[in-house]
Amino acid sequence: MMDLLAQATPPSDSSPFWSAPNGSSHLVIGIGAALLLGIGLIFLLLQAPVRSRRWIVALFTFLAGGYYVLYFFWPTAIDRQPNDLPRNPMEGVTFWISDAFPIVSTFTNVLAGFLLGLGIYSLWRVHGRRIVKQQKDWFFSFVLLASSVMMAFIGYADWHSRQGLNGPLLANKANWHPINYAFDFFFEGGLQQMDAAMFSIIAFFILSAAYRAFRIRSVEATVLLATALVVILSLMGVITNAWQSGINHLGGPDAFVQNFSLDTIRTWLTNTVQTPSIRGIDFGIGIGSLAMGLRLWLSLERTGS
Amino acid sequence: MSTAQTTLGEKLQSLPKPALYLVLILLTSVPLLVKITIPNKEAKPSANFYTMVTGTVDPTFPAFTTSIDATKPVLIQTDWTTSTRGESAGQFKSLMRILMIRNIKFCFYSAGDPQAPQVALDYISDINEERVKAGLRPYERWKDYVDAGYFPGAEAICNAIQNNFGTAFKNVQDQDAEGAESSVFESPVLKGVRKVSDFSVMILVTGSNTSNIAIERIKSVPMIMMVTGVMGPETQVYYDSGQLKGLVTGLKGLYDMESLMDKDPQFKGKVTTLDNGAKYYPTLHIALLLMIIAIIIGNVGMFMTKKRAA
Repeated sequence: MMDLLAQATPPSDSSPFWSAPNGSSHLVIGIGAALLLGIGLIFLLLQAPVRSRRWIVALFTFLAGGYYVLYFFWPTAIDRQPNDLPRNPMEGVTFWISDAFPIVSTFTNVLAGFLLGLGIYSLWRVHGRRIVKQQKDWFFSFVLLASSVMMAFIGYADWHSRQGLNGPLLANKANWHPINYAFDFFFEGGLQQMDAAMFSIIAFFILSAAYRAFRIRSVEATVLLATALVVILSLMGVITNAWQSGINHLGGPDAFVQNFSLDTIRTWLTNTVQTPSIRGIDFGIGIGSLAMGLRLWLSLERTGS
Repeated sequence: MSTAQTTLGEKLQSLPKPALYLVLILLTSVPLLVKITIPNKEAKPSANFYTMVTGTVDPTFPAFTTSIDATKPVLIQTDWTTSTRGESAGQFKSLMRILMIRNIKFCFYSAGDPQAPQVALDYISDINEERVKAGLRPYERWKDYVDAGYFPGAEAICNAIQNNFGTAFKNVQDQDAEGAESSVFESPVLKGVRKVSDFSVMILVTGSNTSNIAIERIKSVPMIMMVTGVMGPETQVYYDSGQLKGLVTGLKGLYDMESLMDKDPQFKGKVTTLDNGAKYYPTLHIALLLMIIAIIIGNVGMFMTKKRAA
């Protein structure tokens, strides 16, 4: 029982069960079988009576979460060597938890990967419907879907061209094929630039928001504004240098006035005010997450049906 | 019909947005036309980061002397894309220049964004072009660095790396020197690496909170980070507690790095030292100055209106 999951660790031969070589029939068959098995399991779950479905999901949630609880709380082995054997049941559990970790972590990564698939499915569903029904701004939906198909196609073609003996040669742009230029044009020249352009718009919002919202209407607002001003000014080399020169004129390196250099005030604010505040907030978030995690693990959350 | 006259105070409080935006565009374009050099005093977290990766001790902070073992590889988690390239790209480029000049091998992966590994590869390619122009050998994939790709579950992969790096990356492949997909452990980069503590340091270049996820889980290797200005305050907490051995924050941190590189004979004259940081720092100055002026105008307007009403 103990090494149930540990047995799933890929053996060290050339064609392990869990990781078939790229492009092999073994891999294609494995993906097909896993897909069919998954669909079959979902179908079986849907056939289960509605009341028992909740319990099945709760059971799997408990088992999955239970592993991480054990991983966190169970004592870990100190300086375990590869050929070490457990000397008692307690150590047996320790070894099992440790050995099973990569497998559980792979499951977690695969599940997280499904989120990408779910996102793509949702995107296609929403925008596909808008195009079919020719709803308002359907053309933008068309551009979105056409772009995603094109990017996927070009991306795959680029990746494919880099496989094999010619792959390393393509590190040099002089050896590029048209498809590599196409990928560079769309990924670097298009997607990445638009991404950066979208983010740069924030500068306008920040300026506009600071102008409208930063008003000295109360004591708290004044403190906030003064603090923000010190931090902003301390980021400006010209100001900090000029300020420091002024301070140096007023007193030597050990003078009391040196406590009022922008850097010193900023450091004091960061270490004495900001860091403890963030620690407090993080602590609160941690406790909240723990409570939320417990509710999810024990399936105490309402399903929202 | 009479219209109520708008006072100066009210006018100052309601400057039109397009005018503000236009001034911002015009002023931040100035550094594109005129070269402005900003005086700089390096921050301690940046200097510590620099010493850690270069081995050069900044005379301003002589007490900090820890640096990495250049014979061991470096593990890099790169979680940024071009949305934060203003800060992250420069940080990543300066890091690459340092590692490549020192011939330090590295393995990179992402736990934050599927685009991140490709973005990293593009910038490595740019640095390689720069090196070739400077008469230096290009850094070779597989021999000098490996791309371990993207892991969708940040928590899971960070836990797995801490638990057992060898099994966490067991199925990770990259293109070998012949172009075939091979296990990254067969590469000269990860030869002999089985535990995360076999790396000299773990470096995160990020614009998202994957930094918190990593530092909360990976404990067996010294960690340093390059984060965006927005991420600075929450990451500073870990620097103050000593969990981070060095921290480069935002554009100021990047300018610190570049200034330190520019003073260091290891790099001066061999690679580009003053790059994105030196280019963008004046722009940041102007934008911040404009923000301060806008805040002052708004408050003066408010006080004038209040005074008039009283």
